Amino acid sequence: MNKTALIPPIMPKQLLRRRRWYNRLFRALIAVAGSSVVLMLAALFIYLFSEVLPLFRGVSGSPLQPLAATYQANNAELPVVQAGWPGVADFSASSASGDYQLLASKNGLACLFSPASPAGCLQQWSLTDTGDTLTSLSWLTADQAVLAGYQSGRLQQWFLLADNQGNLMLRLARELPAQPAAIIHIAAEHNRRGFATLSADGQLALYYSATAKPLWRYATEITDAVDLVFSANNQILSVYSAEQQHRFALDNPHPEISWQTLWHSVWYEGFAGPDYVWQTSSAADGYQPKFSLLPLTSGTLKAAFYAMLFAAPLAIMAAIYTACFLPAGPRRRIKGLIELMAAFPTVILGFIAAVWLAPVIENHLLALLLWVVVAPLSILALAAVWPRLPQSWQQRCSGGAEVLLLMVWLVLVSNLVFVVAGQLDSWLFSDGLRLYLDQQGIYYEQRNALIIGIAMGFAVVPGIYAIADDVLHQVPRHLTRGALALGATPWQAVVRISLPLAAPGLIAAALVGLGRAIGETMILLMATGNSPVMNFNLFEGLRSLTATLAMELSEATVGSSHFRVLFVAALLLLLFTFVANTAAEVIRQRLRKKYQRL
Amino acid sequence: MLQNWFRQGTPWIWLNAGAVALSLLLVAGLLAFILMHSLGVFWPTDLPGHSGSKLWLYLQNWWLFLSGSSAEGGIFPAILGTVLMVLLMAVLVTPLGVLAAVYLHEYAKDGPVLRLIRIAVHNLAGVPSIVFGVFGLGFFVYFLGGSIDNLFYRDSLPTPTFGTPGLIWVSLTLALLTLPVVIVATEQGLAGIPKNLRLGCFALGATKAEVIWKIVLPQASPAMVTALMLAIARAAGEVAPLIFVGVVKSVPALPLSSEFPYLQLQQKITSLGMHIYDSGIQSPAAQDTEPLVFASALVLITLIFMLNLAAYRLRKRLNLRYGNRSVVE
Amino acid sequence: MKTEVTAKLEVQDLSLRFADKTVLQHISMRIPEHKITAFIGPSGCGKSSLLRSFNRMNELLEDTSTDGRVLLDGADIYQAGVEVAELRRRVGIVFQKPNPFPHSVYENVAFGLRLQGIKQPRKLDELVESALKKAALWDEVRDRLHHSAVNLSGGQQQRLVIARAIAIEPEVLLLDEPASALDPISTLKIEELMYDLKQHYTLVIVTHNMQQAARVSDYTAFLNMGQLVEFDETNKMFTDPSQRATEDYITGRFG
Ligand SMILES: Nc1ncnc2c1ncn2[C@@H]1O[C@H](COP(=O)(O)OP(=O)(O)OP(=O)(O)O)[C@@H](O)[C@H]1O
Ligand SMILES: [Mg+2]
Repeated sequence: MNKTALIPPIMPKQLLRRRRWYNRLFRALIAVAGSSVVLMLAALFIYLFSEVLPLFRGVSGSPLQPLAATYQANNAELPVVQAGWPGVADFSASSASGDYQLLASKNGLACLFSPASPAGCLQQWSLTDTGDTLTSLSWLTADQAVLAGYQSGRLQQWFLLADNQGNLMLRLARELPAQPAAIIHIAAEHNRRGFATLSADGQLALYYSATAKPLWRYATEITDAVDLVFSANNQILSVYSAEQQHRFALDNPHPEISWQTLWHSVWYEGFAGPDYVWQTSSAADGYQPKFSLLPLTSGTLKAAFYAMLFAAPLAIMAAIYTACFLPAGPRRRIKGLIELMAAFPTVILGFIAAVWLAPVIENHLLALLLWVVVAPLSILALAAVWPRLPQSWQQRCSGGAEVLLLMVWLVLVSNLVFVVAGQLDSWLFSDGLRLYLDQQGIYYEQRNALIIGIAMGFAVVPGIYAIADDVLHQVPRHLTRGALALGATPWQAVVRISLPLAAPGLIAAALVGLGRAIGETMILLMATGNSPVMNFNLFEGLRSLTATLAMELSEATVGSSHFRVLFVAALLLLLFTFVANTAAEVIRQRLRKKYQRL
Repeated sequence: MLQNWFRQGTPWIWLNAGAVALSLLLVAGLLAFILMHSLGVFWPTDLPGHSGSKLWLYLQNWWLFLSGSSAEGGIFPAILGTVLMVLLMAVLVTPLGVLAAVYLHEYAKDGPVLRLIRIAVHNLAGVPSIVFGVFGLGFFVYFLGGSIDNLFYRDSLPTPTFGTPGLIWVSLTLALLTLPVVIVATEQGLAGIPKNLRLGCFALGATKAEVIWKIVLPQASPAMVTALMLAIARAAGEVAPLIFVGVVKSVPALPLSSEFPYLQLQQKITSLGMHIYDSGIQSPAAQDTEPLVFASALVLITLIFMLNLAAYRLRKRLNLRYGNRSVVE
Repeated sequence: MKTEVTAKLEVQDLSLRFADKTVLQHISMRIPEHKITAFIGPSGCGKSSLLRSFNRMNELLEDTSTDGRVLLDGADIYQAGVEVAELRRRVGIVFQKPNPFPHSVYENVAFGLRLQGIKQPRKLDELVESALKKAALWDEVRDRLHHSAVNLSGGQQQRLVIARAIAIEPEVLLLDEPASALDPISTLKIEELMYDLKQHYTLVIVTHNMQQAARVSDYTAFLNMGQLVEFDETNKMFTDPSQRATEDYITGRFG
């Protein structure tokens, strides 16, 4: 062997160094990429939180240097005392637009009238039935509500509502928590429903119309105040005394949002009572936005519930069959086909659900209801006659082919059901089931939760199926084989061994499906009426968190309360799915360990 | 007797088989439904003439539909937009996804950190896509885009250049959305590579980087392609999150230009999914455009199915290549 | 053992654990330079593991921990700061199971060379050819150099990985049962190869074939249950072992 022929491949130092450096660089790069996944999830949370947090930050206010200023009372015209009203016009307040005026005397007698048609009072009543003395009176912005303060420190909020005959009248909406001293001044914010009060002991309090608790309080020494006024941008509150203007800078960007307005029922202006309302936009200026997340959250949960009701049993039953009863070849093929369901973009599902499925189901409601009962029975019937069929048939239809047979059978049965249901419909109900429901007072919307259940169910089936099939298939073979050896039927082996073992995995599969259903947007956006109502009625529409985001986020002003509330919705979605998916993943990791031990 | 029949389980098995049959029927039915409603759209029934010329006209109609601009009732801008956003997304997501998968499978030590990352990956896969859209709008468009504008496009402010929804943000959002898909599928590929190969490479004095670069990644490349195709298939049909970050109903101009850099990253685009959503539901003339929407749906589904099929094929080839090794998830 | 032979590798109190199972216990030995050392012992006694610890391959397996020192030319290879890639270049290893890369025959052999920065095609050709010749494979693969190596027979694959290992000119070559899948003729060729190689390299082989150990090796180590039972010159070991267990094993009475 001639060694000199070989050039000893001793690496030059330089190359060695380069390789070492390259190795480290690569390592660093990969570590960065790996941890970036965690970082991204964290960034998602942190970012959403950072947008949401300002909503819940408390209001802060601080006194500024007082200015010397002589207060000029706006020389209001002396109110015309209305004919037929016994009171003395100690207080007079006129609404922002000037359409309504309220007169009141110290003992609480009040008269609401419209200066445009000053023919007597629209409403004539007593603000208080106790012996309290009225000390202040003010309209909130936008003609909808009046505030009344009393000697005892009570504070009332009255809403202008129409009664049954359509006559406008003021109704007591709420008594706000009383203050220790008489409320001598009330100032309304501009363009939104906040207001401030000043009481006799110099206590300033800032409120928002929908929340009872004051947002901010401040004790001043001012006892000789003559007026309380907000600056045009609501950021400075001024208290005028005879010679001075005391100013307070307020930082109160989101008064309309609090835990209470998001999650509790709130009595908004123009409503007959407290309710959960989501209403964010209106053409009218000075409109009060209403941000109750409950209708949206319940809409999301309702849709997810009905979708799961359809999808989970279907997917898990299908998984039991393919994982436990099919040979490898057909199983792989069928699995591929079912997973093809996931390839349909949800925008197409939503489109078909909205323009085709919804009207079809509306017209064939009875057929659908009938089908739900008949289809399983027909399968049982087929199962019953099966052993009586000729042997050659049975042999031809085995190892996956019976699925084909069942498909044909189901198509036949479905067609039959539709024909029969059409006859029944006209025979049982004179104008069809749909109208009959209307007559019974059951409200049926065309794009309803039933449609969503079917369309979204279709979208979540493949996800649930894939995981369920995996966990069932991974059950160690020797266990089921052992049961079979002891004389159990295949079904008994599945029920006694596979299902109990894989049960956590099936739950995880359902959780993943639930997460998917909660996060689904397009189907919900297109195939529901998007009305934010709160009920679990199968035949009514809904509005989900996701659809709301899709519709409203682009239009919301960046940084506004509306914008941030939508981020709360996004955060909520993230939390829902986070919990579902983490639980599912932890369950699966546990299960995998368990399988390994067996 | 009936009781015994049920105890034996035959009816239950049949019911489960029925569930499979129903699922398959749903898939087949939906496919058939879309085909039925879309294939005939361009058939010139009202014209006289023999079927040969009709066929010619039919194909011509399809071609006009596929290549026409939106003003002509065509969907070319939507197709182009879909393809562009998806390609750009692929360019963005592949390196990150593959590197992250390599980290998970080759570098990370088994332990709480790895568990945490895995949970993060699965969570990321489950995050509602609309939330990615919200994140994309706030973080990419307003924050990142705004910063870019402040740094590089000072002169044109306050008119935003990148600080407004656009193609690049669409692709970034999609990349985020499909990252878990790429990671999970690539990791499956990595798990299929025999340990011996790696050891053999180390034994020749290779550094870890060289082992991964020269042996592991080439071996995993089919898995990577599969991963990418699955990601593309998922991204192509996505609409909801993209409404915020730059996909609009119709665009005045295509995001392509004849001079450098040829691709207008900051321009808004339109996509097939958006087209279906908009002209199917949103637009006032939805009734009249319905058949055309079915045609668009067919185009989109064909695109996605082709990608899925290719991924499926590749995966099969891959499995054959390494035998039926158990694949760690 | 005569003291004048210089030790290429010196093992000092080496212990190895897989997870919570101790595989090697307190092994100390000196592997002489330019000699062939054979490891024998019953299956599962830790021969392969010991071999792997000479170029730190064990740490690539899951959950291993090594204690003790291994000196290569007097320098501890387990020290911090040792360039492991360079160490493995100097101490080559051929595994028990052949593991060709799914590349062509040529690329398999050229792989290590390329890592060393050799790029010129002519030089590569030359080095690949000579490595294949040394491994007694050249004649069989000369016309299918660019076909996939995976299609070679088991024995051919084994020689290919040997060629791959010697192509980069290691100083120490560790061979784990190199002839286990070979016919007698190829085995002979490999044994001849070892004979040639030992002029320049230090060789350590693992074998279950006593005749082979006796034929080719200068020194023999007998391992049992993770412990070094006896280590001596092959002649002495096979004619006059000092341990009863060694004698039993060599004569096949081990049970
Ligand atoms: N990757 C591993 N993980 C855990 N234990 C291992 C691993 N590799 C080897 N072992 C254990 O270490 C011990 C020694 O194994 P080793 O491969 O060194 O034996 P050997 O002497 O080479 O056997 P053979 O002659 O059969 O090749 C064995 O008990 C084996 O079970
Ligand atoms: Mg061994």
